[in-house]
Amino acid sequence: MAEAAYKQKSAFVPTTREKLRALDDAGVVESFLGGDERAFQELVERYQTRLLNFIYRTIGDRERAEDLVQEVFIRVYRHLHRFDRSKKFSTWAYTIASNLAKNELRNRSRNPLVLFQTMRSSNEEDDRPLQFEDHTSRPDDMYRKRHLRQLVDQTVAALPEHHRQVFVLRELEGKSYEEIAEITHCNLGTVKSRLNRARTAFAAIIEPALV
Amino acid sequence: MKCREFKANHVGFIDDVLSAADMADMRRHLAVCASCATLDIRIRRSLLIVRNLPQIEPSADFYARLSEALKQAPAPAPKRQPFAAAATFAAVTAALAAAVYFAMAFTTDREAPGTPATVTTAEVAPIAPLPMTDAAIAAAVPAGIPVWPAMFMVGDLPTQLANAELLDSSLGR
Repeated sequence: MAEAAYKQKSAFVPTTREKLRALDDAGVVESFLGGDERAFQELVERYQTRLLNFIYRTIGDRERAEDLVQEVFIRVYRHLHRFDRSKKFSTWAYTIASNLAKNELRNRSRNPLVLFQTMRSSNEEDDRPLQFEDHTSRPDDMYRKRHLRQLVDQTVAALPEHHRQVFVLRELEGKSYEEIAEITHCNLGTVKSRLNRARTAFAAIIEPALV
Repeated sequence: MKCREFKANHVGFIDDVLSAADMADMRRHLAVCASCATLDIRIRRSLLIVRNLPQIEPSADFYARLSEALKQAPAPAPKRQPFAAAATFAAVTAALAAAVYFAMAFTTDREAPGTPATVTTAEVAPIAPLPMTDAAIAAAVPAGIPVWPAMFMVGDLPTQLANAELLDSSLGR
């Protein structure tokens, strides 16, 4: 009986990773600052995909976007002690990502060679064989999905930078107007105005391709 | 509702964050304005595609590369203690104030309060000539500055415009 009770008890003891997954961001940050290095890995797992998509859709270069996401996490690691824990960790991480993406775009506009290399690396995706993408979908579905994704990526890239950031944060990252205002250092009115224009422009650009 | 107002509120209408009364106004305008209705459908359709787009995933070695980069990155910046910083600032300020106070105390003449300040002209003592022995000049001038050769020619300089007595006394005559 004691053995059965022990087995039952041990079956419900969560691992450290499970404990971390059950915590909200503030709890994970506390764990990391308390000395648990695995908590940082939890933060990386929670945000790596979201930040990658945000930066990729802002700058249009997948490889470079991954480098910048790495940089985001390096900065988080180095400065988490100084992070104001009364604020949302998510907003802070996205603000760092937004600033890095803006700097990247600014540097590109000054260096035509970097812009050319970016365009080349984006086009190289077309050479990747389709069969490695998704084994469960039919080939024509896979083609359509890839075509649609490229279409959306190109349309988002065609938006002006200020509109693009707000659009991506809202439509792809699901951020609230207030969070977007904090991340982009704008007021609410500006966020709504930019979002309105971005949506109108996006719809106007992509609609002919959808017919 | 005019079209301009409809377009201005369209962001909130799409995101369903307007008040119930405003939402009803927006719907009423849609029912009577074909142009705004077309705009509304066009935007909603495009957003449907965007919001259902599959996300791109990081590469398989993303965390391994990040771990490597963290090992090479500088150590986390130390957290500044707010109280220690304030204490340091206060100490430096106090030291500066004390230095200024003592400097003023030793360099200015103290007058009894209420005594009106008077302006006096100090007598200026005649300017004494510098000791101009050759050995003293050579020792006083830092090496590399070609000033001292001119000192050997002092004796040959015209003296009619100079104070002859001062010149004689400086040259030891």
